[in-house]
Amino acid sequence: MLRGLYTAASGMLVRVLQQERLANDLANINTAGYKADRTVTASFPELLLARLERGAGGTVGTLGTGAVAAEGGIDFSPGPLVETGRRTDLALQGAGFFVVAGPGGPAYTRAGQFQVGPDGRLQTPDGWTVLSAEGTPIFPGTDDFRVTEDGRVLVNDVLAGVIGRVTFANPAGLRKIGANLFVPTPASGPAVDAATPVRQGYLEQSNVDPARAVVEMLSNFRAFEAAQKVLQAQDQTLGLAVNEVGRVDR
Amino acid sequence: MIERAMWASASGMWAARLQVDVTAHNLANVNTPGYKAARVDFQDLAYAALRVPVAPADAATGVAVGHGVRVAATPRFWHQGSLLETGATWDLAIDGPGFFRVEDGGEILYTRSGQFRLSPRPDGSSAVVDAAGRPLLLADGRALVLPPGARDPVVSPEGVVTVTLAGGQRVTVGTIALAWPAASDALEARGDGLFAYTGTPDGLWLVSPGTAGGGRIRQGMLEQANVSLPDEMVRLLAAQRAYELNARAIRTADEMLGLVNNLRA
Repeated sequence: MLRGLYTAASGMLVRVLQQERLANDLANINTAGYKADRTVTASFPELLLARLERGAGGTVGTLGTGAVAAEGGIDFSPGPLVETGRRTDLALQGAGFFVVAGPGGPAYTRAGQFQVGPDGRLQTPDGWTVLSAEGTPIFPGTDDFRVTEDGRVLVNDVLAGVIGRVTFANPAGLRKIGANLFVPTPASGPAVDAATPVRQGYLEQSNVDPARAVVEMLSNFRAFEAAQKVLQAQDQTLGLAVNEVGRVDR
Repeated sequence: MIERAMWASASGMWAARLQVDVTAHNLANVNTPGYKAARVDFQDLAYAALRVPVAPADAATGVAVGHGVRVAATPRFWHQGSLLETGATWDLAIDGPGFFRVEDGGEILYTRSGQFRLSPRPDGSSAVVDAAGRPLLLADGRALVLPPGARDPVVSPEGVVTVTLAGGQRVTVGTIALAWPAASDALEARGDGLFAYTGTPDGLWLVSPGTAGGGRIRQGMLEQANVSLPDEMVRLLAAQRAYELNARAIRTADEMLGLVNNLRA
């Protein structure tokens, strides 16, 4: 069979994946602390074509066999900080993450849309506790608190806890688990305590750039279309081979 | 699966529509006394790992695909609205934190709208009630009732209500206390400017107006809605564009599906 058929199909599959990731980015265009996905595509291993004719020997050259989404990175460029007027909204100015007690151990987020829970804990909207650098919950007990730039939570000038902030050697290696949370992987390295300045009453907006996303979507679509045309051409070639070359009548 | 892209975009359209809904609600209440603006907090949905790095030592991260967006919460902005002088005797505004308590069929609800009026009772006295007839509660939990023939009611900034009786003597009828929830987000909107408290009992305190934690009561004034028109307009535009962008993403995904269908043309 024509190898090109599968090469073109692999190109289409990569474009479908890219469209899925772009759709997720665009869906999260108003999600605080959201970081856009980046996809790295790589080619499949190349084949070496060998000459089969008698006597000549040697190789002809290489043949590509298609593309695959090799790696999904995360774009950690900062989103714009917007003043909200809610005292429980916190934003990080610079690289770093808030620490929360996630579903399976500590998780990390840049979405500082926190609340004070009914029991007085500082938590995310779905109830994950915000942690200090030591891994302890922060109990302001009221939403009438002040957060200093170095992360100290003050209730009537009494210290209620220090907001934990961490960085990673390679943030792009973090894995998203939904709910604006990230978890470390061997690629990201372990969390390291950081002193990223905290801004109270601000939220970091999504860093999805609509213009870039739409342009990527257009070029991605055309690449998909081109791969589809290549596949059709291969199919027609195959059709000719089967139906015309192999005709035995007359 | 191209369908996943379509569903992710659909969730984005749905999220944008909800943001328009909340913004519309804020804009509709821009002249509602005591109204607190709401906003929508979003979160990304779960991710499906399509390619997992083989060796742990591998510096690769694998490929994961998200499923779109969901609404995490619709918190309110609790900051003070501006105070407007109305001159009406039973227009009460709270200058600072705290909520009036009103009784609604045995349940205590909380409000900052402060538009009260007198409701005559069969025995000649009159109760201070809100627009829907819910009585305003005093510090001791009784309804605020003015004796028959009482004139010139005055509510002091500290919440003390005094009237002149028919005989001419000045008496204190009661003291209005404010409820102060430690975590404002534990209040759940019930409409009519009312909130129900959903937190733990020890998270809600009664404070005297003008003391630590409680605002002062201003008679003849109303607290305006704290809706910020420019912010709402920006949110409206952002939501509209987000809706368009996600609709466009669905169309693109659909065209890709169409191309797949036409492979064997």
